[in-house]
Amino acid sequence: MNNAMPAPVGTPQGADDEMRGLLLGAIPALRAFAFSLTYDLDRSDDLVQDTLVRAWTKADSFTRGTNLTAWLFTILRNLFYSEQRKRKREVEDADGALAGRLTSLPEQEIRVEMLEFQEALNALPFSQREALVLVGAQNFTYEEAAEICGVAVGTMKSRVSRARGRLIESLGMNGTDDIGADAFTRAALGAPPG
Amino acid sequence: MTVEARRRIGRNLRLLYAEVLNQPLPDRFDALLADLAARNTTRGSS
Repeated sequence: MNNAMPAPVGTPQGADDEMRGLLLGAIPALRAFAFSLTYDLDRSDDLVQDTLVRAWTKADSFTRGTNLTAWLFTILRNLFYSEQRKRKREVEDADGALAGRLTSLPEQEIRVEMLEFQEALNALPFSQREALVLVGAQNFTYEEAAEICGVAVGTMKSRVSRARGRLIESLGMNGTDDIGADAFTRAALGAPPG
Repeated sequence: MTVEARRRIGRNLRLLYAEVLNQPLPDRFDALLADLAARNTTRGSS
């Protein structure tokens, strides 16, 4: 075949059965990440769908053997932010959006803790929350998370560290005694949040 | 920062998103990937 001939639209060289399987496998993590950005399941699924289409048509730009999930997260994140800029919709309208969903958790105590945790999480600057989600929940390395967000590794480390510090502070996690007890009690007594 | 606090944060984060992670995938994604793959074979050289 003539290498100089441009591939027709829709037929990237890297897109094949293997890629299809890899993409399918990455969907749950992508949905969770999209949800952490949007707190909106429908919007998350739209984002994931756009990400898959973008990934498929740009599959030849993905280097096999590197972290596909990180690559996909980068795409999803870029899509999210460009959409966000278009919508001019504030990110921080998420307070309480999770509250309804959390009712399916089994234990009342866990629900309370999670609500407090979510409040503290939402109070973080967005870049710190995102950093924490990538490293703390999705188990990316600092290097991968830095690449996804397009920042230096040191920046990523300090964002995660500051995010953890603020959470620990606002949740009263001092680490010596039973760190959840106070939060449970305060919430149970109906103390105002934060 | 204690290991315990860090572990707790990680656990809470995962718990927060566990519901999404554990949900069955909507059919639309299967359909989408099948559609993309089909587009490949009709427009590709095979």
